[in-house]
Amino acid sequence: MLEDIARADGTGLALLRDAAESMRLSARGYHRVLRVARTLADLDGAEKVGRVHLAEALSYRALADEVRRAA
Amino acid sequence: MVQRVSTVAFEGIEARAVDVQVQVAPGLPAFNIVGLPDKAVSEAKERVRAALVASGLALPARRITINLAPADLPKEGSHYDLPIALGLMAAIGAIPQDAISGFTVLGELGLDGGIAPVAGVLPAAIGANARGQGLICPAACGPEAAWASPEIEIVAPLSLIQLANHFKGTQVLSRPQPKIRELDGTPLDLADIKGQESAKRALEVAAAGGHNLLMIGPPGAGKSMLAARLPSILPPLLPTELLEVSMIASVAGEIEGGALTNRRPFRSPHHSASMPALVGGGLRARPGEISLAHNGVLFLDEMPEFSGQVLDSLRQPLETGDVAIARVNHRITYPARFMLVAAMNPCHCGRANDPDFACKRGPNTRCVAEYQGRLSGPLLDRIDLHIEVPAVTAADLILPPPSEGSREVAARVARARDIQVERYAALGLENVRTNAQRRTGRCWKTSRAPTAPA
Repeated sequence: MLEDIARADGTGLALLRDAAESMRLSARGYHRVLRVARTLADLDGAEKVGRVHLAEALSYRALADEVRRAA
Repeated sequence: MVQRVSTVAFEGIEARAVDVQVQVAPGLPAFNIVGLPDKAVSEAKERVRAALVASGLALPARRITINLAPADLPKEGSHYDLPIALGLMAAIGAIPQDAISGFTVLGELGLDGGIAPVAGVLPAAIGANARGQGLICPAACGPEAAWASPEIEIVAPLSLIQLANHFKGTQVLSRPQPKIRELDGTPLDLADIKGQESAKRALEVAAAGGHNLLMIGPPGAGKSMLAARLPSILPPLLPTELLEVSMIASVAGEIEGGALTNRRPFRSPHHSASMPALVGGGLRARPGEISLAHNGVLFLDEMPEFSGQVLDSLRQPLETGDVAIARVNHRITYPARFMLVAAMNPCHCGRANDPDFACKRGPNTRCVAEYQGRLSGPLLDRIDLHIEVPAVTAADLILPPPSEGSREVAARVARARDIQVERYAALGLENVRTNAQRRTGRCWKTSRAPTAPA
């Protein structure tokens, strides 16, 4: 269901795949990034989730990675 | 001859019907209450006796037995005073015997015969309405009860005498009107914060999608200030949400003056909070902070200072949106769909991310690892937005205040939320209202409550 709502375009998907691998996102983390990206698109009034939205959503996750490494 | 009065017992936010049976029989004078009463209920004897005397009535010198049925359901709270007193008054002929049939009664008595406010009037009114009964409740709770339905008959007297006069017809009480609490004072505005543009952006995103947010920054950067301004950009509660929030607040006795508010709750417990205080529990399995923050914000300032166990108890509610509290005498599920907003320093001294700073306790990284290690990975995994809130420079503070305040941001947030509500309604997911919410099997039974007056 979430995949339909937050479907990203081609370049966005590529970015997400690369990032998910390098950041070693959990399945939950992956879906949460999609949810945040959907909200960012909603704030922009955009129909589709674009690469910019995914990039910003991932950036909010990046710091989490650092904290978790410390934990 | 047994006189019956309807009242309720609370199980979470559900009001279960309880029958108060009053028997005045010949025999040695006595006054007994049976049916698993707790201390507050057994003490009702003294309050009822005094209130009746103050109202010019006397208890008959006979054997009085009160039974609270079903007898195996534990009865807690002080709201049984009024039904017991009314049952007695009907039994001794002080009020007509049929006057109180068709009413659910709750209220606490004072020794002077006054009726004091009690918790849980809103769920009781909704329950009474579902059974096709009216409600007799304390005057201070009348406006709260009136939210249950525009049709339900409500009598909200100040004292026993007023109620007796109402039934006699000499002083008829009018139905209370639903009330919305007015905001007191000017709300905090986002325009008060200079600089921190990226943090404001993250706050807006979190508000728009209902995402969890963690702010990390040195002391004095404005983390708590940012969080305190979150309510000013959140949209008002939808009518169904208003009822859900108010039911929990009503059971917890947090509704002041019977007036509901359409502001989203914002709860910020101190970091000394215990697990029952946060997730709910205690003697009566009362709702905790996370349930009181339902449809609103739970703000945990200085998150690593909370005990680890307490923080990890949030993991399951964060996923499911409700919390099941199991105790020996109670098994209760409270809704707890809240937005978690947390703030913390990067390390114990708070300045680890400052390049000019060298921690006295060793390398900065060790200080950071030690401090942030208090948070568990699974909890952090559930927080969508992690942002760094850097210290503000003097240059930022000298600047004039930003032109954009809470009003503009709130408008954008409201627009984004409208899009989400529409989307999930179109998909048939009436329960889901924001992107962050998961689909859950449970549907909160607010559908039983007719729509609240606008």
